[in-house]
Amino acid sequence: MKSINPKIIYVLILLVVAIPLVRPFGLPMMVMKPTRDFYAVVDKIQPGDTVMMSWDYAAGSDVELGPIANSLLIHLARKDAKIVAVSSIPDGPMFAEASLKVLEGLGKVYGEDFVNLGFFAGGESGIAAWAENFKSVFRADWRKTPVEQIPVLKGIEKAQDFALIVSMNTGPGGYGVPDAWVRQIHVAEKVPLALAVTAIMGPQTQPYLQSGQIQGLLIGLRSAAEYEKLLENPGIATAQMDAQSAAHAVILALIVIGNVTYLLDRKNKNKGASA
Amino acid sequence: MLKRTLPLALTVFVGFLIVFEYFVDIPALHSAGSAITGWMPLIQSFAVVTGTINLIAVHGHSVRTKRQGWYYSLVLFVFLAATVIVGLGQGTTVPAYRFLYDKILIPCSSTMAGMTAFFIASASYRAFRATNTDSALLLISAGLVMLGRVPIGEFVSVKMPDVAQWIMDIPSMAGQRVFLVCAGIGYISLCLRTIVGINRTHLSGNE
Repeated sequence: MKSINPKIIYVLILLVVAIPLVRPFGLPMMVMKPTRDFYAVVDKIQPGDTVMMSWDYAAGSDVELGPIANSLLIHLARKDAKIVAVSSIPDGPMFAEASLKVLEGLGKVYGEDFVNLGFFAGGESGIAAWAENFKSVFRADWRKTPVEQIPVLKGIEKAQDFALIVSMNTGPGGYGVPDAWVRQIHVAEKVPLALAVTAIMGPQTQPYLQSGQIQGLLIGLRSAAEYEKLLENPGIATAQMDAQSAAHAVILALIVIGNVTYLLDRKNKNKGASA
Repeated sequence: MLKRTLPLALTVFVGFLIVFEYFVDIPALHSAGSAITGWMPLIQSFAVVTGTINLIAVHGHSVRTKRQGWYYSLVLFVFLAATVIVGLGQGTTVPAYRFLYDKILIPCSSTMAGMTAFFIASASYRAFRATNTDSALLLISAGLVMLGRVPIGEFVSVKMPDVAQWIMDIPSMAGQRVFLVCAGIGYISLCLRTIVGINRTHLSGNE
């Protein structure tokens, strides 16, 4: 049986992704337990607590993790938490800068309520180093201001000075992978850790949630949209879920068509062989 | 001596010190371990320099010998130079650096990542076949998770997200734990081999 030309499949995917982005269907969506649990962890943060957020992703994962970062920042700002942004990959600080603009929009002041410390080298070794002695790794922020002159960092000497550490992580790449954060932050320092990962990283990160080694886990765009729903602040992730729904439906339809043609071909071959 | 014995002796010394420092409560060991851990980000930062030198050597050779697609190497040199000049000269917070990032690097990287959706769709049609019972089971569970992770799944059945979550929480988790435990044992074994000097690939590329 003749197969579908790949170019037709490419055009089909382009259309089903583009149309819902321009005209969203507004499909209803329930909030799953892992997202509700993560929300509850952030909701326990007290005013004045300091939370570290690590932008451990590059451009390819921004579409999934960027909306999560924005939602977490809004939630933390509502809780009046102090936020310290870091990155274990060199691309991260630029994404942190973009996300932190959300805080400026909410009236938070750079240096007093939040700070971007930029990239720290060394991956897992880097995490271990600042977890024990924060200022041995971070001497100045992304804007070159010495850490001693930044009010939000007053009293921060080690990982245990943070009420919560969140890594938004793109996974393998030789830098601070999720496993490294679990080993150095939860196991070695006993500091509450939560992770936000891309959908492809979800299955291999989930065992850490079930074992209690991480306090919360957000997986991909779906979790981002669910978090926006919990915050009652629908954003880009909510809009993109319709596009993802349509793309998944088309891919499933293609798999069904592919298997039906495969089974029919096999049946015809068997018939031909027996005749 | 300087090429093999000294680096090997350093590996053994530092490796044992870091391991003992974690398990044995001796303040002197802690401060030594802490100092060495603090050096690591600094040492690893030099990888950026060696990586850049390697990149220049490989792509420089490509341009000199006019290998197929050599002009891509030239594009790399132009943007490498632009990023280094702007970054070192004016800093990473100036509009010119942001332009290189926001208008060139991010759109290019996002396009590369976005293109995988087209290839996944095409490949799933051509290759994702129920040829036997195992692949049929994989196909059905993947289909259920794909449906359950998007709102259209709830449109099909309100139970769909719970079914997807169950697949992720029970059968998928069991498999992942096997991978994690095996990888962990392998990691410990590799670390021990390196610390005691059996694995010497970091010294010369040969064991």
